[in-house]
Amino acid sequence: MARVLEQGWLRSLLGFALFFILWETAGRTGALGASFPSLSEIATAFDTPVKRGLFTRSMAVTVHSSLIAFAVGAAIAVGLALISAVLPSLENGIDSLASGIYAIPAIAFGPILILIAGPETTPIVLGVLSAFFPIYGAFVSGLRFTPSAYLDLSGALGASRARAFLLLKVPHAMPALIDGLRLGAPGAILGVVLGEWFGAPRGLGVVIVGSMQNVRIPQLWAAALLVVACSLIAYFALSALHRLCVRRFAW
Amino acid sequence: MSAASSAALAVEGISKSFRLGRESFQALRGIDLALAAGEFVSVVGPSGCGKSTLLRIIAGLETPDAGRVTIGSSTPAETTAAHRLGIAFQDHALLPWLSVAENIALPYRLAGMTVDQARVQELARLVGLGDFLRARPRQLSGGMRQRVSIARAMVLKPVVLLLDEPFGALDLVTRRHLNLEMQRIWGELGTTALLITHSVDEAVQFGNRVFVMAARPGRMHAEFAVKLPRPRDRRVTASPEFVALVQKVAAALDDATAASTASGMPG
Ligand SMILES: Nc1ncnc2c1ncn2[C@@H]1O[C@H](COP(=O)(O)OP(=O)(O)O)[C@@H](O)[C@H]1O
Ligand SMILES: [Mg+2]
Repeated sequence: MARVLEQGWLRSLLGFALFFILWETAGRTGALGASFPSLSEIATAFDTPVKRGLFTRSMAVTVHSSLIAFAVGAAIAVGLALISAVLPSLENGIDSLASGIYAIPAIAFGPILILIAGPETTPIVLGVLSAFFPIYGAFVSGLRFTPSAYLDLSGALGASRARAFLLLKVPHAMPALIDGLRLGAPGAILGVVLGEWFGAPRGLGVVIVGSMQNVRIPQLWAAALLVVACSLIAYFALSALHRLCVRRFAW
Repeated sequence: MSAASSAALAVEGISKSFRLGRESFQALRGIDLALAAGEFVSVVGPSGCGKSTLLRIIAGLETPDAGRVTIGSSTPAETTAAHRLGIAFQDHALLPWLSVAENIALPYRLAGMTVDQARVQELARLVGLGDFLRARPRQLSGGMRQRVSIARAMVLKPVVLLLDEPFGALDLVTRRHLNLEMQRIWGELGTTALLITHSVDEAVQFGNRVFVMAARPGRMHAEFAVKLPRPRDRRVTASPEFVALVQKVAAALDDATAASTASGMPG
């Protein structure tokens, strides 16, 4: 038994099972109040084809928007990080711009965005904004903190700035970049769902708001859990990529 | 005509100060050094006496406050721009994402030259890593990593090879073994070389000449000619001549260390 427990995934599985059992018990006994349903109650949100159709359609929209937001946010972040690393004179300016974007409170900005960008695009814009910063910050610090030994090497070997950048700095920063992507992905999903609250036509965020207004507790929880599941899947997938990348690019 | 003008590497009157908060302190004062073509010179000195700083100035990584460095007939900047300098550090500075062969070939790529695969393989064989071309640095022992870094330093056929304690991080057994190997390699290549070390044994084993430095400010304290036959294998290093010379250099190093402490900052 002890040997079996040494398997990491088995322990995780046991942990999850225990968590679900506690949840089911808490829901059935009503220990945490009427708005805390048991898992079997939440499952009723999926018990007819019509209900299931609503969730698959909504989730498809949210996932699609999140993928676009993540890709656009990552592209902008990587582009700006590269520019600020190549052109040190722009470094401070780009840093301020990035922090400025990060400091925008999406909640306050959302309704304005609806007016400017429209309800369909707003989720994507908020997703881009919240995915951007962790990716930018991680990649920029990876590019800036090149080991001094590498710089000495490129100096003594007479490497041009461009070659030192491409051959030493960028590969050295790869694990940091993937680390940023791993934090940016849940950010993109969060931004998209938040954006959907502000009157988007479809999406899990729309289901969440609708269920809340109509007090459909199981449906509300089901939608929220699907968002969490998407976030976790994205995070763990990119964590696996990060491990691969560290094995490839670091000691 | 001074000896320096015909030297492969000439260091003349180098001084260097660093700022330490508001104060400035002198790391090197009036360093002179001249290496003839093909000569191997060792430098020993107490830690912090400015050995690495001297090497970094020769490599063009620091600029001296006074004095000048000439490599052949070029400045350090010209030499590095022509990709003619070879350097190896105590921290081998290998790139973990490249294979052994790619690490050895890195100077070609940093210089924007086409990689001479035959040369890369020849050097890998020379340092005993012919069977490890595709391995990653992570899979190698400390001694093997240092071999890669020395092969990398040699790959562009440098006019001067600079070695900053390349064996410093290795255990004694590995170090002994690698010392012998490196002597053999250097015997084959015959590059002008400057070795910095804190091991007197190593300095005498490698050097045609050994310089002893004193600290605060870093300066030359003593110089010894090593007239022992090569290869300096166990037979030579066990000889009375070798042992006596090591003792003389060690005594000079003790002297230098005492002189450094006496002229140093209070405390
Ligand atoms: N970039 C630097 N800035 C300030 N002080 C430095 C710098 N580089 C070296 N020093 C100082 O100069 C002295 C000599 O250093 P170093 O050349 O590394 O000595 P060694 O290699 O002989 O141990 C040390 O006191 C060190 O702290
Ligand atoms: Mg040093």
